[in-house]
Amino acid sequence: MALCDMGILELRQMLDSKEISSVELTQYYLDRIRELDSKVESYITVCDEEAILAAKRADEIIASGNTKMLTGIPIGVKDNICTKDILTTCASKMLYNFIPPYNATAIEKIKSQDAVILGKLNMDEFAMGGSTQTSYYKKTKNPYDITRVPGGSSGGSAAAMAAKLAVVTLGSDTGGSIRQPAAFCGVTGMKPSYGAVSRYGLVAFGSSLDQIGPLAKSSKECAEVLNVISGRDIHDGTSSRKQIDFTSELDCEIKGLKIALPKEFFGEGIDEEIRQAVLAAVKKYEKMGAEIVEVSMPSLKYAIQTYYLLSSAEASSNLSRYDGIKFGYCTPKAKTYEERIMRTRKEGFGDEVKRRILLGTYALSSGYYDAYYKKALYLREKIKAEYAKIFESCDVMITPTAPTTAYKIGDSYNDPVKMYLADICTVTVNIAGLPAVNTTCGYDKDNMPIGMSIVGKAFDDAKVLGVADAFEKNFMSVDPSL
Amino acid sequence: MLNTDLISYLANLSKIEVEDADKEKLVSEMSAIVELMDAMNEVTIEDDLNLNGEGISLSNLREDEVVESFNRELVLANASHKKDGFFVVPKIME
Repeated sequence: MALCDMGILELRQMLDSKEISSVELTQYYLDRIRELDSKVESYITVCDEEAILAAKRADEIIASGNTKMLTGIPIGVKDNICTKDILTTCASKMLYNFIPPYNATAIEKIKSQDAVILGKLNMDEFAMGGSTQTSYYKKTKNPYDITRVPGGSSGGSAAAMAAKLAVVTLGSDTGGSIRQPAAFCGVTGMKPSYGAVSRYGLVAFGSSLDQIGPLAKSSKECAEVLNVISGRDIHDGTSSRKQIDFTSELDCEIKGLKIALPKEFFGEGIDEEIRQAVLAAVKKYEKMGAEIVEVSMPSLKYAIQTYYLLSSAEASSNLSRYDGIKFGYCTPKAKTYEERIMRTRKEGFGDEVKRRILLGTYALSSGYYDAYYKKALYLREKIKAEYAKIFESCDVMITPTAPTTAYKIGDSYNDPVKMYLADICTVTVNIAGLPAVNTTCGYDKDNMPIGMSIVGKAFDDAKVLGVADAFEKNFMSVDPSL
Repeated sequence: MLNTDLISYLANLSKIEVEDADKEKLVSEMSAIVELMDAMNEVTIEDDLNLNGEGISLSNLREDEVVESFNRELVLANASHKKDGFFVVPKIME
């Protein structure tokens, strides 16, 4: 097995038995990035020196025998997660020079285990998009076909996993931003329950929806990373005190498991090849002894509206902090205080970010609040109630992760409405705060990966990972050829 | 209906400068988005659900204790204009 095909668990053994040092492993990944990332363009920043220094420290810990799961493991991090002394741009001109004075809690946690940060990964600007084409810096490519998008917004995190440019990566998911790029790039990606992982240091987009999560080679690997980064944090009042062992259901029994199939997720608008691949995967679960229950989620009809109104309203408030005064880009062309703020925001934000701020401002403004924001809050509760009803009688739910496989670069990019509608399969999970994992279940006629999502009850994250793991054990994935 | 006046109003609330030449384009883009959102018009809010959500329970908040904050130099390091430990902005009052 090539070194780049090894996951955390294999590498842990090799590192602990001194078959390889963390410095050698880190250098190997830095060399791969140098050699291959010019094609994929997944990294915005590569931290050569810092990574080697961290690897040296990890090797000292390994020599002392005091290792933890991620000690010496090279990791890539989405560029909206704050890393102390490492540029964190959010893929925006607005933060082109922002060096955070602190680490996000998730970063503190992986650093406390002496993991190695290889660099910062590309994304849609401020995580607003599903293609990684709205980045101010570069357009990331799909390693399965570099004329196609990697998905988004964590497109850099997914593409780097598919191209094997990190052992594991961190992403963030507000409306599908881990699961959809994971589906497009044929990797496993987990959006944990809202509150499972601290959001402290994650650049805020939609605070009631955002979660940090891992992208990895398997559900098992995702579980190991989540065990490290999850937990209560005094810096995030919405982080939960519930303790989850994400690995606890990895060998769970599928026999007798009740799987919900919501018919609305398999209707019009979903590519036939995707529908067939996901239904074939469901059949496999049935063969393993699961019971399939057809269910309905009528409010899916309004999911896109609910999601875009809530997330944009929250974004319009969260992004008000970018004023050119405290940090980030500042226009050189302003005489007055007002001009400095308004021109900085005009020049610093890209078109999609501006559209969402304007939409959110509209939804919250006097005269429109009841028609938009309040109605979205109502629909959020409706969607939550429909999920609660489904999970009264079912253990997990299976849906396609996206209505299409990765599309060509350039397609959809200029049509926001088309882009928004493509998020239909993922947004309800964030609206309801549930855990969901994407895993690959097939390939289309162009050999592009097809992803399915396994969704669970809030804080039943371990079950979701266990169910995905049962499928992965019997699935032969195909690597991209770069 | 979205028009250039409403775009100007929203841009001002959002503190984003928009040039006159770009307003028509924004009206067209935002109209398409608002039209998509208007699918919700057929929904009526009924009294069957709690709209306040669960919120953050007070017991989840940390103790209100004074702790060490960020070092001032460190915080100012990212500011484009600073002097004597303060942020500097253009004159606010004439």
